Amino acid sequence: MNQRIQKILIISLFAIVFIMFVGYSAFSSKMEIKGIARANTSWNVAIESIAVNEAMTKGRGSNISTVIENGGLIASFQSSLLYPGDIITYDVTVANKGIIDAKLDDIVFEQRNIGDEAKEENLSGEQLVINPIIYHYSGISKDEVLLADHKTTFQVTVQYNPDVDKTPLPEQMKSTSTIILSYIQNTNE
Amino acid sequence: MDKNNNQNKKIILGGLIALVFLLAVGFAAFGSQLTIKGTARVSTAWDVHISSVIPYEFVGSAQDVAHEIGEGGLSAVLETDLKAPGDSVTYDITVVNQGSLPAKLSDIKFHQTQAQEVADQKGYKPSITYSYKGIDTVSDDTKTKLKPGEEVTFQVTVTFTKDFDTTKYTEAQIENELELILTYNQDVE
Repeated sequence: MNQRIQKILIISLFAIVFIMFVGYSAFSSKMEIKGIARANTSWNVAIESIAVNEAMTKGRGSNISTVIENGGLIASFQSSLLYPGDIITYDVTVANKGIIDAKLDDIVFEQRNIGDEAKEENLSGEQLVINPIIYHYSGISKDEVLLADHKTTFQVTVQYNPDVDKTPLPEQMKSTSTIILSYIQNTNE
Repeated sequence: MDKNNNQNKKIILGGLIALVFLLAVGFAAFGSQLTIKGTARVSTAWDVHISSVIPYEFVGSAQDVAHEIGEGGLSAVLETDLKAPGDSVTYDITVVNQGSLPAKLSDIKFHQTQAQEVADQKGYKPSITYSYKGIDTVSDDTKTKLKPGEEVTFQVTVTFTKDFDTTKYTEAQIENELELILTYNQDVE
């Protein structure tokens, strides 16, 4: 009998402990909040076109070719100038086809003459090297902002130096020019 | 003579019975028994859960793709698209105590995948960051404790880092995942 009572007591105690345990566990909640975020952004600033601006072209020079390559990162032109004063002007259009505003961070402009130098004698009799071909750009400046989905057009001019008509010139003259535009993301700072 | 007496007794008895019956009916017809019942129940239900998730503040081109509460209100999912640096979305998340026991926020676990990358790689800059406000484990108000019937609304914000250079980000920086776990226990104080 005692054993029986003991058994009942033990089982009851177990039951009570179990109920208390379940009850205690039930009085607690864990809530989990999950998030996923994606940056679906795109950057696309490139040269869209290069073409002769007839209105700003003078003389008997002519365009030989214009090329856009490397996904719009490089544009090239070749010109032929015949007489001092000849000017050929190119319209170059840069387009921002991404969704992020861009800013022109830097402009690097270089010119290099190829072949024999052209020289001119000054009043003192010194021989000075002159540029028979002059490159020039306009319509664009550092820190300009190019908004997303917008374009900008600037001019590049190549001119036969009008001041060389009295100078003995080499038979052939070549000159190359490079303009490098560096665009960065505009952060509105 | 005896026969008459018996008959009289029967009549009187019948009459009395009828009278009692009439009286009973009349009493019943002229009275109403009013019964008032009451039921009292002691409930120790524990019910703390997420009741709502609402995206309410959008900056830039940010988009809420999806926001859902899981079954039982013990989980929620936020899915967001960000297009440009500076974009952000803020979500209002409400936790309610619909049980009969006071609850206390005992633990907050906050983890995001890009934060781990920052910790692992020196110089790494996260493109997307999550943050939260409006709940903690130390306040004496609803930021920490919820009495039965009370609720708390806190905010989770996801942001595309404003000065992030999108021309250089890596594949790992395209996404960021959030895990925010809130643990509520019974407040026994």
